[in-house]
Amino acid sequence: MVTMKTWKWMICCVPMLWADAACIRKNYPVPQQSADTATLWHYQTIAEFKANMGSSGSKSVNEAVIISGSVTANDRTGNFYKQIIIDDGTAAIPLLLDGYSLYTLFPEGRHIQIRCKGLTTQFSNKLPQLGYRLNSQGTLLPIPWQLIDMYITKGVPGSSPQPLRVRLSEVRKALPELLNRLVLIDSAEFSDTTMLQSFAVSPDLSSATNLTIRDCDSNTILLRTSGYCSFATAPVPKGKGSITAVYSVYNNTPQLILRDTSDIHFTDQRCP
Amino acid sequence: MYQKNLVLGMLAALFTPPVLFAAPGTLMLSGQIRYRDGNLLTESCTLRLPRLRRIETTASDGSFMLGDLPPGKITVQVWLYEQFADSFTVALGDSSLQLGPLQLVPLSLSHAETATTLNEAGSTEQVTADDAILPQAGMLLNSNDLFIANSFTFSGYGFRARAYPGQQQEVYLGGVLLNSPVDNQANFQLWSGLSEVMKAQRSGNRIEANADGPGGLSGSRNYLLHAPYQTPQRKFSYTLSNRGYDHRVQFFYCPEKTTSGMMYSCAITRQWAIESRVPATASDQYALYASAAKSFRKTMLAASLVYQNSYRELKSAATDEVYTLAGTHYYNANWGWQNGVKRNARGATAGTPLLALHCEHTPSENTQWSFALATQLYMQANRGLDWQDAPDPRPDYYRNLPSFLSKDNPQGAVAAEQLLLANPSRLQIDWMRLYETNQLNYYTHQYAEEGLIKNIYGRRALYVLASDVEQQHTMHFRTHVRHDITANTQLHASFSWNSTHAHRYKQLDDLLGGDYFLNHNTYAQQSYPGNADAMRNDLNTPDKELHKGDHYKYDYHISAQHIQLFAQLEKDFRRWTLFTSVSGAVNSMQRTGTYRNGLFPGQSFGKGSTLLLPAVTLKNGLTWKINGRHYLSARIYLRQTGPEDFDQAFVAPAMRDQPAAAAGMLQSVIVSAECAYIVHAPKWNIQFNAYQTERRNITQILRYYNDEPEYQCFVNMVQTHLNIRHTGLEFAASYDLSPRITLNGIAAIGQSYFSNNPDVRIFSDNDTALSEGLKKVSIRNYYAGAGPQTVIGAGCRINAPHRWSLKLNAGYTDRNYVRINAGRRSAAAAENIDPSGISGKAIFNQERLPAALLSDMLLSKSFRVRKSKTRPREYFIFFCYLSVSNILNRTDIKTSGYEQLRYNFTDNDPETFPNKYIYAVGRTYALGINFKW
Repeated sequence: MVTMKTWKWMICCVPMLWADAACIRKNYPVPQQSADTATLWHYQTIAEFKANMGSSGSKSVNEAVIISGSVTANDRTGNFYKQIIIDDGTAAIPLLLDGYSLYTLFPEGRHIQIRCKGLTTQFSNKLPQLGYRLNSQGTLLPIPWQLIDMYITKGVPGSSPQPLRVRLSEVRKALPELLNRLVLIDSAEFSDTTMLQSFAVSPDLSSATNLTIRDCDSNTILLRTSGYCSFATAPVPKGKGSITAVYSVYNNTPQLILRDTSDIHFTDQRCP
Repeated sequence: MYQKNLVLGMLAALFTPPVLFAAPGTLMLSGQIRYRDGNLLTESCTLRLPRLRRIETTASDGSFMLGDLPPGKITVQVWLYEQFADSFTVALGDSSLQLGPLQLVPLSLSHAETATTLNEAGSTEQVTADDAILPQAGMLLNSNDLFIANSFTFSGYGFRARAYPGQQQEVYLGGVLLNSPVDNQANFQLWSGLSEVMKAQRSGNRIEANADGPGGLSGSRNYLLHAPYQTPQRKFSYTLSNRGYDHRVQFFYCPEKTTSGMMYSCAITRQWAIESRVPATASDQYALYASAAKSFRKTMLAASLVYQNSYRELKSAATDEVYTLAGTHYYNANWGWQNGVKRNARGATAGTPLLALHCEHTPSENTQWSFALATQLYMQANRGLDWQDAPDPRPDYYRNLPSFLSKDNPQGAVAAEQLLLANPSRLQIDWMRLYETNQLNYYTHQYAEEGLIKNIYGRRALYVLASDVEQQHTMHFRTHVRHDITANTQLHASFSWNSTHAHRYKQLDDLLGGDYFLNHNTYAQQSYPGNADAMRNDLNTPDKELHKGDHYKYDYHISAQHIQLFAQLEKDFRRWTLFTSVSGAVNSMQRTGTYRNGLFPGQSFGKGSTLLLPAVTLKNGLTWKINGRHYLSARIYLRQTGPEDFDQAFVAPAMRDQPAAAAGMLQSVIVSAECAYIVHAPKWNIQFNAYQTERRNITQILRYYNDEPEYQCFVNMVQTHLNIRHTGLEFAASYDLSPRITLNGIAAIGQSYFSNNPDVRIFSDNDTALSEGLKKVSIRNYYAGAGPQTVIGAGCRINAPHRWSLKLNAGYTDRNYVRINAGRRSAAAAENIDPSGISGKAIFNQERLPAALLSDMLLSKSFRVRKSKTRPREYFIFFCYLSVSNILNRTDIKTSGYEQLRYNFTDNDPETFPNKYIYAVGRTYALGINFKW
């Protein structure tokens, strides 16, 4: 026997059930296919990687490429700014990073891997570089500090990289295969005209200073030093000897970039 | 039959300092304490007569008869269970007095566990004199001040009454003036765990008459530390909470006075939190207290020892960008994961033992003389990250955030934002990176020692944990005399002497995987390339490698003394009360450097100049007792003083001895006036205050990183001739809807703002020429940024049968303005900017934080259990309560905010360093039980 009270309860419950049922989802969205399937990374030497850069302009890296190498130069003294140099024995390339005191994470000799997909290469005044993206002016931007871990895996620290021993006569013309590599030149000295100078003039006068290095055969090459680096005001050594520096180029002009004054050992008598 | 107001509150203690061991008399006072609804008490309560140092117990029906009373004013405090409930003052003439039933409001705890103040009491024809129960002027401006009691709801939301700074309150403890001569601050909050002990206090709010001393604009508070002032009881309490602590345990023991006149009391307390609502904010605090006293015929000797130790991990304010990225307003940038454990870089440790000796001598009923001597050690260490030649490790540093990239690298900004949203742990400190950096940084350090060049090869730490340490040793002495010149004229006079020796230094706490650290000033290295001495913080021990526990960066001593004379005369007429007080003080400060700084070798080492800063305070007040229910008061306060904070008197004390006097520092002047109208009707209590305060010629020193092209370093901005005006109205009322229900309301509308444009001089930390950069800032009419300027609240209290009590409060805060950066209102910031344009408004307008609705409640229940059948009048008393704050769980309330002092002058962009905020925590609770036996 259904009493009136029961009927009232049922009448009250119907809209509640209705409302409850309305909350049950009837249509389920169709799952989308994952557009980013498992990425198969493959390794390249820096020489192979540079070969794919072409010889000029900019290029986005769309392939899942990994390159690796040891850090040969960083911003410890400030002569390199927002970049480190990576060398794997086949070639070397600057990696642009948007940060300060990069040497704290990337000391010389540390082995690192770079996942290049999504990054961009560019020839800046004919010097190949690896960075993040191009801005609206076409300038290659450094990898943001916040994103470094997305692209770089830091390995164990290693010993200081050994430079390539070259003659000044060999590198007085720009050699693409040597670009960004650490080189050692024997029997070099600063030219007479620069004997009384410091490594760089005040940054208020010029952001960087070119000094001339020569050998006893009068072959010369420029040594470019930033006015902001820590050894900018140090006097240049007067003797002759070996110098270790990063081989670089500005358009067609080869130049050396010093990491630190400890890379200069000009202790011998100057050329006659 | 008529009703008479009882004066309730602990005011009696304020205006009538305890007179110990007054000569016993022959008069009697009798009456009966009742519940508010007129019902008889169901158990006895305690009556305390502070002036006579007597504690009596009523009969179980509340009736009492006090004998052997001397003539004169006598204040009786009524304590129900273990807590203060009410008080009244009577004037005994030549005959005994028989009071009628005194209706007492059942106790209802506020959050601070202070007493209620409602007052209605009945009387009968048995009362023989109208003035037997005295009206007391200014009764609402004491610790049970109606406005202050009701404004508690807002205290967690940045509200400060009248927006006065913290130094404007004098604090006394155990009879001595506790404010440090170094910074004029009293670290009495260190003993907050000893809440049971600190309940014994008397306070003088704002600029009312104050027996203890001149007080500041916020008055004074005197914690009566010694055993004779403590309530005899044995009490254990436990609280479970999610506020500043998880658990709190307190034990307090104070036996009755022995027959030989000895009095003892002791307490131990501990409160701790593994992690509060904000991540990685552990805390641990414990405190000990012991006191003993002996009374002789006219003299009381007391000694007390308090010791406290606390450790707290801290939270920092953050920008809205970071809060949004983190997805929570509980974001705390100070911690990071280290091997699966949350580690907070910022922590504060404090410890302070204090030994106080006290002597009270009462040669006659009208005179009381007290001496107090105390010695205090105080140590505070604020730990944080420090670094050299390495990127800023703080995850919320502006360069580490997506917004830094948005202008030059918008693609990178989007990618960085997505990365942080997907990995919130990246918004925390990356401890592994800090360790990795130190462990990889092999470096040959060369230094000279005894004429020899030494080389040390190892891992030079670039990131370290270090503490700013301050150790103080203070001697306090104070003597105070009270003399009743006539029955209604009272004189108070005191002499205080405080001498502090402080030692400040930076201490290396953790090398974070490194082998050593260097005592170098890297900013100076950049400013003076090629100058090897410039970067050395101490030429006396140049280049010595540092290890854990070593001092570095700065190390100096401060000698500071404070001498104060005070006198106050009070005259109490039948319809008028007058008071006048005068105080003279001298502060002296001297810096003694331990380091010979490489930038300032001639101005950093050894004794520096001594600053002598006199201060004079005058205070006058008048109260018209219109009748027993209406009071009208007016008071005025004048003070002239120099900077009472060492850090505001010296430009860059960490590096050199340079008094701010040379930078235009002047004696500041404070002029304050207030008037109050108070009503005590049978059902109504109303308080209405109006005030205006001018603080003129203030010297304020701000220290920050200045991004202006000519500085680009840390600077000291010295503002002089700064005027701040505080003006406003305050209102509080309570209404007894029924004997069990009371409604209350509160409102405060004020304006605290800069009333002129100060002179500004900027001194660079590293400028060896000590040249000053003059700057004009336009901050006139900007708010001082001291919390909500408008607060409105309403509440009700229900005292239900069976000792249930419920208190509900709702509040509204508005006109809360962020603290401004004066440098942003300078010509350099305004260059080529139209102040009325969008960018101009963004730079110059002062942000007003959103209004907020608040709510809280307190539910309590007390009950008793008979100890045994053989002792029918002895009970175990239990008191349980549940307090809930922010019932609506609003986590979007910005309680405070400030403009960063660093500003992007190159682009004139205020968004480079946007405002930082602190948000209110959500719903919090405290569930506690007190057990007394």
